[in-house]
Amino acid sequence: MADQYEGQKWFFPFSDDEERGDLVERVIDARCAYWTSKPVTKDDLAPDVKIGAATE
Amino acid sequence: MATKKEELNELLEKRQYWWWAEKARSPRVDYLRKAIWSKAAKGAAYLPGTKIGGYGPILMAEVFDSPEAKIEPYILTWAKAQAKVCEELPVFIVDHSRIVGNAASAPHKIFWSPNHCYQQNQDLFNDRDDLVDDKEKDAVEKALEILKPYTQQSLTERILSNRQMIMCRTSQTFTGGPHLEGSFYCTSQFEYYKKGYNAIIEEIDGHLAEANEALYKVGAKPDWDSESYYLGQNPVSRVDNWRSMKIALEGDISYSKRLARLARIIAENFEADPVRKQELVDIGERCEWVPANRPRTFAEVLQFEHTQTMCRKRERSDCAWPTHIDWWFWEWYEKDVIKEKNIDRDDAIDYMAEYLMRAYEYGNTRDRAYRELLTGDPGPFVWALGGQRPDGGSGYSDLTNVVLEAARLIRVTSPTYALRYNKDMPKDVLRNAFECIRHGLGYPNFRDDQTLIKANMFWSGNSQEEARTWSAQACVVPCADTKEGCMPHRYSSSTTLGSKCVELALWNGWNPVFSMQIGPKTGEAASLKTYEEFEDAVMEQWRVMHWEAAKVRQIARVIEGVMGRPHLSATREVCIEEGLNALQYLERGNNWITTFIWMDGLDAMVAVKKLIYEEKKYTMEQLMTFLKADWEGYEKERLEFVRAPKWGNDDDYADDVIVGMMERCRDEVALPCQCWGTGANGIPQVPQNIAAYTVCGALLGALPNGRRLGDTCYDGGCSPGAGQDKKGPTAVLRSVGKMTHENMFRANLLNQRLSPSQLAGEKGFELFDAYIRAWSDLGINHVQFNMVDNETLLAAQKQPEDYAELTVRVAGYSAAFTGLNKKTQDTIIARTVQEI
Repeated sequence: MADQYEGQKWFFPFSDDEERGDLVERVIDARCAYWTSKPVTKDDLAPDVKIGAATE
Repeated sequence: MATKKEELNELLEKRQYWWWAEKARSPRVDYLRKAIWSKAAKGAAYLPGTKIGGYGPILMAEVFDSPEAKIEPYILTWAKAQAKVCEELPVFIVDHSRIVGNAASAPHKIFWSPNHCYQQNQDLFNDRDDLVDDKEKDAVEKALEILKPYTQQSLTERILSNRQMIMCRTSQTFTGGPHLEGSFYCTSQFEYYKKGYNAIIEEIDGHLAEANEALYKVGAKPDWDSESYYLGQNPVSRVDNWRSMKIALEGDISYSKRLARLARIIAENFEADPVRKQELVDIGERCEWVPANRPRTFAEVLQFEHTQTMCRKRERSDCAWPTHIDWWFWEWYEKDVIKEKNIDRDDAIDYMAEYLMRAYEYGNTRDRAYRELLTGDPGPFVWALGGQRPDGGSGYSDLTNVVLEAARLIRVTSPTYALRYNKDMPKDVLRNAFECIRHGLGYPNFRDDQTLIKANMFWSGNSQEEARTWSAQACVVPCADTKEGCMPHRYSSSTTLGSKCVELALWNGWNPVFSMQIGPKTGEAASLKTYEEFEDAVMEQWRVMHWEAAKVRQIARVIEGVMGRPHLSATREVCIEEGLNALQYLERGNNWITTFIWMDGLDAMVAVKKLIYEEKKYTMEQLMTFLKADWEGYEKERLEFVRAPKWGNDDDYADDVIVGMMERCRDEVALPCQCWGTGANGIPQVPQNIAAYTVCGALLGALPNGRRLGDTCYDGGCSPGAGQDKKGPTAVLRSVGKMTHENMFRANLLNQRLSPSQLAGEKGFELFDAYIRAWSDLGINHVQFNMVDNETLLAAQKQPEDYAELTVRVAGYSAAFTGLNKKTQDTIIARTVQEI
């Protein structure tokens, strides 16, 4: 499931501060598939990052 | 065509339990089992693909490098560093999982706690397996430099003597030292923190409000008693302890909320499967609720405890993982599975299986030596099950069975279980435990509950009621888990190499393996005219070894007290109530010193008594000639020493010497020690071995039991030597039963290997039941079993890829057999297979 998202990066802003949010990524490694996120600021995003909807 | 049931039965009959497990478990559990990146080491190397995460050093260095860190107490800086990690470490959710969170930032990574040992940091950073990602290396290197003066090693070495530092670093008579090894131990007080972190934060706020009133209220009368109560540095003030605890708890809550947010993002934006989408929504709700609040459901309590532990393990990895989950989680299981039937029993087993796998996938940073000592296992995590309740009632339930059934399905090497055995244990629990052993898992180990309750009362001064709450604080040591029943943080390790005292006595304090004079000069061997003089020399060497290891620990403890442990403290009632950190609370001491490679030396003493002092077949001069030659050229003589009476044969000659030594060790060495000013009785030994019986073979020279430098040592703490127990398992029990397990040592470890063909079927279970009763009658505190035949083990050596889930008991822990190095594999094959 959701393998079409592999390698894509998404930015989901915080609903109370849209300049900050989580960088979400789909990873498939040698043993398992998972989603991961880490906090980032919008200014630091690479150009290929897709922007998602603001989330609680 | 065979039905699934027939297929499963066929696999059981063929004793192919690993294939049975793969086919019997649910698709979710099967996926998750195969998804795990084991953090165990093979030999001393982490498995291919394992990485040590750079976030720990990088994020913590930012905090420790701040201007505030220069003037505030260590514990406060450390709490802030932990909170920063909780807020910024990447979180992840593996497909199909329902319990989420990890100490590390990715499934294949290990979280790096960088403020313990700078030598270990260097070891990891420079490892030839490239454990650190290239893109992080520069930042990690810089961070490690910043953190070096803040490591426990730097702080401790400032107050150790040169000799103590040399002895710690060279491991001649004891391993490492607390500032080097980092095998810490704590005890969880689930019964307190299950109320949820918000309730604890409320208590802290109450104490801080009282402190504010006493210290800062305008117009308040000066009152030194009150002011010093809150601000006195002993070594950390109550106010700073409370502040740091609150920061730690808030960090955990924010970490959990980040997991909740990720679950919601996946559900709302990416997940197409409605069933999985709902699971993600449920994960989000659970992580939003716990650990901030008291869990409401069985799934929530698993998530709660998992989050709590993962965050605590970033603070200190804690070599063991003390839990008592069939007691702790029972009320939620009873409500959801038995009374309200919100989930069925099979689903509860799936949840439990996932909970156990989440524990198994955790790994900690270890230097090469320590990885080798625990080869094949990311743990050891030994979890207590069952036992006598504080009020004397029976503490077994269907949840005990659920844990054991889940364990058979996933076949992981950690957690393993310490089953608290009482004769009124329900038969279904005993049968489940036996099935785990029959499936070759090597666990649970059996612990005689009544013996260990008495041991807690003797050594730690627990009341009987307190003593009955015990869980395993390490591989084998029991520890009460009540508010005042234990020290929340016991110690970080330093472990004596027991048989070295016999070698040093023979060599007049000289260590022939290192060519250094390290022990006291107790006389040339030839000058020891009687066995009693020889035994006194051994005792003197032993006293110096045990006390020196204890002394290093006592000194290191001072530093540990200054550093504190904000997270652990925040989950202990007495710390919250009194504003103490986990290192400051000392009421019930539980200090002990593990003794590796112990029984070899004692068997050697028996041979000396028999062949030199009684039969006078050889002189001490001749013996020293043999030992100096490492027995080379003296094989006939060596075999005579091998054939001398040995432990484990119910032979009073050997057993009297050995039991007499154990008594002297307790009375003359252990009991006179003082344990950090606690009310505990001395500092006892815990003879056991993990994989030290292979690793330490290189540190122990030739001995009069016939061993040569480098030979594998005896594998247990009171186990006979491999192949030396020639009179069957009951004779082994009779020898071991001559020791007084309630008070001769804090705990001890006995390995036995049983025959799978003899114990097949219902008759096999009945035999086992009778055997365990006999073991309990002898008051032996511990026994654990391997029940895999040599045919299977040899086949696994030839074709390891077919036996990935074949598990064996090493000593104090289980390991994937194919994950062990060849030497350790061979020692397990060499153990005597006993017919009951």
